[in-house]
Amino acid sequence: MKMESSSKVKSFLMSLILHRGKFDVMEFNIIRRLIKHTAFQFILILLNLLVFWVIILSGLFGSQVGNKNLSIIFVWIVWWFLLIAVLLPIFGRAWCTMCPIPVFGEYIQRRGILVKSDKKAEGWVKKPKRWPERFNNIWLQNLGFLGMATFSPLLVTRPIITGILLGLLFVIATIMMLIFEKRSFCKYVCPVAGFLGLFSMFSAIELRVKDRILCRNHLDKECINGSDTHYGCPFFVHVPTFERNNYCGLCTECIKACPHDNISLNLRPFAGDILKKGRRIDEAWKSFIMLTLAGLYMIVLLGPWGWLKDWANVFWVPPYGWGLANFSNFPILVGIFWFSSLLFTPAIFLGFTAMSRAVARVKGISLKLLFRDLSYELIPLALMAWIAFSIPLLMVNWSYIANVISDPFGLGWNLFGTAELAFNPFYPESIPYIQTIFIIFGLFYAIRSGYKIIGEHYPDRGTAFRAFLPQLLFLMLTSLLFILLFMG
Amino acid sequence: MQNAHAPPLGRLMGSAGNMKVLVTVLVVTIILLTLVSTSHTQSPEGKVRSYTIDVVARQFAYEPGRIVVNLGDEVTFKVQTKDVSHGFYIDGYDVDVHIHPGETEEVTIVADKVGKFKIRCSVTCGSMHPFMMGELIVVHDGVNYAHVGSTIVVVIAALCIATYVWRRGT
Repeated sequence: MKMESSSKVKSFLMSLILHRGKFDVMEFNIIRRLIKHTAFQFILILLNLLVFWVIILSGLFGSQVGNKNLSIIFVWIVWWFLLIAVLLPIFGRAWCTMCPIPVFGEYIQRRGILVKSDKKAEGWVKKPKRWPERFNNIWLQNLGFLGMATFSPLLVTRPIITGILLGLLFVIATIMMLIFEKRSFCKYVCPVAGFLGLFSMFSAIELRVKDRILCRNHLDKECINGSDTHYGCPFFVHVPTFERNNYCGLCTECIKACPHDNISLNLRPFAGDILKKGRRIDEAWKSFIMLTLAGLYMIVLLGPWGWLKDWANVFWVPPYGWGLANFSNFPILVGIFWFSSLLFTPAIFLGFTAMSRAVARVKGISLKLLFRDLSYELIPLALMAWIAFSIPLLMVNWSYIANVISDPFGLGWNLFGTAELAFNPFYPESIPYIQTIFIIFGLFYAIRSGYKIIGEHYPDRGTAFRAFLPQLLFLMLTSLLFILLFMG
Repeated sequence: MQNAHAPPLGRLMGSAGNMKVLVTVLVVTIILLTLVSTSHTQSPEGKVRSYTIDVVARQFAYEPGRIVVNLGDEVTFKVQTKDVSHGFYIDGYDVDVHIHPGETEEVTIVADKVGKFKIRCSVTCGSMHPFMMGELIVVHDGVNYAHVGSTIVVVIAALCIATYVWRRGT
């Protein structure tokens, strides 16, 4: 039912500010027309593609001093901050809507850019293969992100490494899309998509069908199979029934393809997916990895311990070869990163989960299932910890953004007169307090989610309360560890 | 979804209840953190201690990395560099000096704010320059009240949230 304009605005504001109920943002004509336009995603991708190419070129050929190079500043400060602190908590996987990395592969796959092509696969590009079933999980993404994180001091400080990484991602995505069907790269390999998917369970936006009965009775399923003019979902999502944001890349193909206008883009309360069914052990481990890495990044990169930075500062040795130097203690750091993320944090959490089960004193509850389900309570806290880590990146280093806008390659240009703007952090003494507020925000949703998850296993109120106490203790201790890093 | 067995508070608050509680917790947190951050900003009456701390800047750390001083102390930092030019910038203290090889820079502050203040490099000194940091911790009688206060705020917030969630039911 179309709403009157004034009640639309009122419902939108109620949803946005009070997080009361859901609101389909496509009730606004301008948004609906924009999203349903064939060129919508193409224009976003094109703009990003242009920026990416400038970033890659500056990384490969510009100054190798990090804060004087567009690639470092725009990828690891501007893009990272906007992604983790703005796009992800509010718009979920909206980055995937505009990501240019799979674009070449996708256009080759589809034999077209804007208009759906009738051309069939010919010659050396044969029918794409299905992704192997045994890799139908996010373990590759988990390990890929952990691998990137291990080399993060190298990655976020050396422009040439950033340029090479972005170039490699383009190449890998394109090759994969010539071999495997649809967005297999995005769903199973992309290290960014791994954590975007997990954290999008918290986000304030969702794409869902409006009327499932209509979908059930509509057999053509253009949202999955495509129509004459639009493609179906390239992310392997079963659009009529999916209930979680994890694997929807917000490409809006289904919205365009649906002949009944039966798909909505809803503004909703935060953490809307955390209590949904479909929990998996690979996703559980992703939450451990992200929570642990947030802490390790704060210790290694933002901490005062020079010896840790020395361990992490493994560097590439141009132009004498492809070797890494300064390896003496780097393997220890690698061990710390991988052991903590994959074993230590999960083991500690398992201990607290076992405590929950023990104090509940109810037989027949699987520890494995309880462990898997309760790991999802960490999602809000992990996301807020990452935002807390990212805040100082922007507040302290904003002047470098102005510098590289005027001199993107670090070659001594001064296009807009800001190349010599002095280092001038923005109220840096307030950073620990802002970080604390975000942790408390995450703690609210973590406690709320955790208690409801406990209630799924222990419906009795008194039992649920007892069982939740160890979880509350774990969440509090984790939050206090972050506070110690911020303030202590 | 409402829990019919929840206390009246849970039924009354409705679906916007979560947001109201969250906003309340955040507002109270902000107020308490503001009080914590602005408390103990007066120099205590009595003896003011004056002393000098030698700091060496190198790629990519300060030595010592953590410096703890008492509220009200007059601290002079004598900063040198071991390798290339570095900066010595202290959050919240209007200190930003540049140190060049072979030179020693002196800067004096009165530690008039309790808490943790990052020391940052303000001169591009190499690849890890943005992550070159030290810490100045200002305590009062050995206690970092900013940390203690924040810890208390987080614990109280957690208990309030847990109580609210429990009263609403699962």
